[in-house]
Amino acid sequence: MGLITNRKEDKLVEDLLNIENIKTDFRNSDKSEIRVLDGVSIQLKRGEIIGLVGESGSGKSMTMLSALQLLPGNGKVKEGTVVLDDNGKNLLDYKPNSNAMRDVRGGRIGMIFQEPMTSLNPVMPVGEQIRESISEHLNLSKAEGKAKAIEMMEMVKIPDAADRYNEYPMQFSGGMRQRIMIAMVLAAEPDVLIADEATTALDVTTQALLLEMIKDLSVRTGISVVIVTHNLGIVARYAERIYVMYAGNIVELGDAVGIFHKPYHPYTKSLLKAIPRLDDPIDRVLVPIEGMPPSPANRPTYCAFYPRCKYAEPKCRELPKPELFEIFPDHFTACHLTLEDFVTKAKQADVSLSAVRPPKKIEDTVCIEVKNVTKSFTIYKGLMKKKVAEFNAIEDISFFVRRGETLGIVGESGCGKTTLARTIMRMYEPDRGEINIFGTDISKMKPKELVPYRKNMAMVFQDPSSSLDPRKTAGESVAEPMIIHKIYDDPAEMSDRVDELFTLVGLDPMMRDRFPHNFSGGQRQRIGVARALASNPSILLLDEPISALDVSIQAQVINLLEDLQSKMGLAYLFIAHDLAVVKHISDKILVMYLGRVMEEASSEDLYRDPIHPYTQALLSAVPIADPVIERQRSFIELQGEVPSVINRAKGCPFCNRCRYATEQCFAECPQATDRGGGHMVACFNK
Amino acid sequence: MGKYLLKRLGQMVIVVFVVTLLTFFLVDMVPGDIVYNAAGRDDLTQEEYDQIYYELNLDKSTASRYVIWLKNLLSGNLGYSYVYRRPVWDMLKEKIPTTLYLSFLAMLISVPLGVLFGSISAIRRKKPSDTIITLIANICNCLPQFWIGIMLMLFFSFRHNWLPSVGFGWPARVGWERHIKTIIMPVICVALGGIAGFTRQSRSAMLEVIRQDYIRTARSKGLSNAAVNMKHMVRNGLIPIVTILGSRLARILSGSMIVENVFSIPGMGLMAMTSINNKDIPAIQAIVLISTIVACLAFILTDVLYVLVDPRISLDGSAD
Repeated sequence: MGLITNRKEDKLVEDLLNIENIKTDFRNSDKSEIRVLDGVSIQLKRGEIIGLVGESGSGKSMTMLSALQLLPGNGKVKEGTVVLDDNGKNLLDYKPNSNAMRDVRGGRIGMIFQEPMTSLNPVMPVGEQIRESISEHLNLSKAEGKAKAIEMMEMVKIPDAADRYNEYPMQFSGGMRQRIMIAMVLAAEPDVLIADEATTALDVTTQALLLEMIKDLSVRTGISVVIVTHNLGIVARYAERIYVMYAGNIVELGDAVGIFHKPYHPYTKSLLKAIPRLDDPIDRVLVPIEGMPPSPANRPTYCAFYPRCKYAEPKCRELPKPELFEIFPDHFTACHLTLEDFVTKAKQADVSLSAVRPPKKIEDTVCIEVKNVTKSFTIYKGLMKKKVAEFNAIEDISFFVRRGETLGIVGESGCGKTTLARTIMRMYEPDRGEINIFGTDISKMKPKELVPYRKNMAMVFQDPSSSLDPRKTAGESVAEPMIIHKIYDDPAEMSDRVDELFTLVGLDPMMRDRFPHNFSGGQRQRIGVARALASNPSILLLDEPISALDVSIQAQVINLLEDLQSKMGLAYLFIAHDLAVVKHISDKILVMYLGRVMEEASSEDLYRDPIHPYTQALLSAVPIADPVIERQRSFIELQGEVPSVINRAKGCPFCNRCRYATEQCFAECPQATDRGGGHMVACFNK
Repeated sequence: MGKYLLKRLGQMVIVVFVVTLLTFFLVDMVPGDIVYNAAGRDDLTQEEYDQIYYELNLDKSTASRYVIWLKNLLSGNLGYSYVYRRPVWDMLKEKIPTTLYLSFLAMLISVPLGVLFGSISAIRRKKPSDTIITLIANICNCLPQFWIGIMLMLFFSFRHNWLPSVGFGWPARVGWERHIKTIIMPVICVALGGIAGFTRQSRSAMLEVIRQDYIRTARSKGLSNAAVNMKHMVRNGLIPIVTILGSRLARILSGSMIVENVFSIPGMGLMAMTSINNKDIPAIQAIVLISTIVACLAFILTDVLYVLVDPRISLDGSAD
C-alpha cells in the first residue's frame, strides 16, 4: 500500500461534502431553458458509502457533474452551494477551470464513469493516463509518478502492472479498463470517489468484483464513495445511506435498511414492487409503475410523480411540489401524504397489489427441441483469407421447450447466448446437431424449405430503437411479417389484425401511423413484440428484450410477456444476462459458459440449490435489493476474467477459474449428468 | 510493417501500370497528325515524313507501340521531347524538385495552420471566432487558385511593387532574399486552399473528439484546459486528419502546377502547360506518370503516419 495513507483511524462522523439545493438548467438550441435539477441536496460524511439511485433522466449523474462543474457547455448551475470540508467555501464560486476548482476536481473528488470502453484516451498508454492524474495533484517527480502509477495498477489487481504500463486501452478488457479508471482516480489520493454507473456495462461477476474492491478500499483508506446507479441491488449491498431521485429531485433518503424495508415515498415503494428479485417466490407478480417519468421540459409544478402515483390524492395536484421532511429520524421523504394518510392508503393499495400469479399451464407438446447443436466459426486472415483458427461458439447444446413454457438462457458476455439464438432461428447453419420444430428437423434445411417454419418462430431484439426501421411506421413494421408469409389476401383484414396486435400489446391502434422515434423505449419494445406475434408463431425468441429499458418500464414488458404467454400458450426462449429477471420469468434455466451448458434446472432448484461452481459464483455476484439479506450472503470471488472463446481450455471451459478444478477437469470436458428431477450439471467434482 | 510496405508498393505498381495505359491511349487519340508535331514544322518532304513516321513506329499497331513505349520506360527512357529535342527525363529532373519544393512547403504551412484554426474553431464553437474562421475557410476553399494568384500579384507586385511577380530561382543561384521574395506569393496561393481544407476537416474532427467520454474523463482528472486540448483532444483529432493527408497532398501538387503557370515558375506545371500547347506527347506522358508516382507515394506515407498516431492500427492486418 505504501503511498496510500491509512486514514481509517481518523474516520470521524464529520461532514465531508455538502451539496445544497443545486438547481441546474439546460439551454435548448432555441435558447429556452429547461430545469433538470430542482434543488438537490446531498450530504456525504467521511468514510461513508452512499447510494444515489434513480432511473435514466432523473438527474443523478447531473447532480454529480454539477457539483464538479463538469456540465456540458449548455448546462449551467443556477443556484446552490457545494462545500467541501465544512470550511464555508462554495466550490461553485470558483470558475470551472480555475486552479482552485481543478485541485478539487480529480484531487479531492474523483469520478469514474459508465463506459469503460470509451472513457480512456485510446491513443495514450494507460500508465501515462494514471501518471497524468498523479503529476496534476501530487508533488512527485516523473519517475516517482511512474512508480506510483504502477503501484496503483497493482493495487487494482492488474497482472504484470509494470509491463503493461505502456499498453493502450484497447489491449485491456472492459473490466480491466474500469480497474485502470479506478487506479487513475485513486492515484491522486482523493477523499471522495464518485462511481457513476461504473459497473453497469460490465458482466455481473466482474461488476461484483469491482464493487467489492471499491468497498474494500473505502474501508482501508477511509475514502468516501458515492455509488450512482439505477440498480437497487447494488445500493442494497454496498450503500450505508441511500438517496432516491425522481425527475430532478431527491424524493426520499434514509439509511439502507429504512429505504428498503420501510420506504415511505410512493415512488420508492412502487419501484421495489416493480423489480424482480433473485429470492422472489415463484408466484410473485411484478407491479409495474404505469406511464413514464416526465421529460424535464414538461415537469409539472406539483409533485412530479403524481400522474403515476397509486397513492395520489386530489391535494397532491393542488399543492406545490412537496419538500423533503423528516418522517422518521434520519429518514426524509418528499410527499404530501401524512403518515396516517399513507398507512390507510397503503393498506388499500396493497390489497389490490398483492395478487398472486396463477400457476402456469405447461402442456406436453414439445414446440422446440434442440439436440447437441454445435456451431463453429472460422477466423480468416490476410489477403488470401487464410484459415487461421476455428472455434466452437456453441458446443453440444441440448434442451426442449414445451407449449406455454419459458426457458431462460443466462451467461456472461461471450458465452454464446446470441449465437445460440441465431442458430435456432437458422440465421446460421449448425455444424452438428438437430433443431426440431414440432418434430421436424430444420437444422439442414435450405432457405426456401425453411420459409413455412419461420412463421412459427419469431424474435424480439434487445435494442428497441435500432431494431425497428426508422422509415417505416409502427403499423407497417408490424404488418411486415404478415406480408412476407402471405397470411392475408385482403388488406382490410390485415389492417384489422394490426389493430388487434396493437391492442394486444397494450398500444393504442391510433398510434399505428407514427414512426418509431415518436415512441418511448418501452412502447418501441411493445411494437417489437407485436411484430414478432404478427405471423402467429408458437415459439418466441427474446434476446435481452428488456435490458435496454428503465427499471420501472421493465416490469411492464415482463408482465406483458407473461400475459401473452398465458393467453396464447407461447413457448419462450428468454435470453438475458440479468439473473433476477430470468429467474422471475423462466420455468427452467440454462446456464452457459463459453459456449457450453454448465447447468440446467428449474428456476426454483437452480436458485435454491446451484450445484455447478460457476452457477454458484454467478448467483452470489447478483445483488439482491434487500440490505438485510445482503448482509447474510457471501460473495464467491472468481479468479481472472471470462476468457475469449477462442482461447477456451481443452477440458472443462471453466477449469482455469474454478475453485474445485482437478487434473481431470483440465484434461477432459465433463458431460451433463442428471442430479435428480432433471437438474443437469456438467461437472466432475460437484 | 515491412511486409505491409511491400504489399502497398506492389499495389502502387498496378496503379502506375493502369495509368500508363490510360495516358498512352488517351494521348494517342489526340486528333491531328503527330508526325508534324514531332517534326516541329509543316513543310516536310515525303522522305522526311516517312522517316519520322517509321521512327515513331506509326506503321505498327497502337498496342505494339504501347509495348515499345513501356519497354523504353522500364529501361529508364521516357522518350524525346518533340519540341526541345532533348530526352524528357533531362528536362523533368530539373523541374520535379521545384514543383515538389513548392508543394511540400505549402503542405508544411497548411497542416499546422489548418489544425490550429480548426481546433480554435472547435473549442470556441458557436462563438464569433468560430463563425469568422469557418466563413473565411469556406470562402478560401472555393476560390480558384489562379484567381488568388492574380489578385496577390496585382496587389503586391503591380500596385505596391513589394514582391516580384515572376522569376523563381533557387537560393544557390539568386540568393536567399530574392528566393524568399519570389516564393511567398506562390506558396500562399497553393497553401490557402490547403489551410482552408484542413481547418474545415480539423474542426469537424475536433468537435467529434470533444464530445467523447475520454475528454470528460480528462476534465474530471482536474487537468487544465490547455492540457485537455493538447494531450487529449488534438492528438485524437489528428487521426482523421492524417487519413486525408495523402489526398490533400495530391490536390496541392495539382494546385502548385497551376500556380506555376501564374507566376512563371519553371516546374512541372509550367512544362505540362507548354507540352500540352505544343502537343509534345512524350513530355505529357512523362509528367502524368511522375505525378501519379508522387501521389501514390504520398498515400503510402499517409498509411505509415497513421500507424504512428493511432496505436490501434497495426499495418500487418491485426488491427483491433
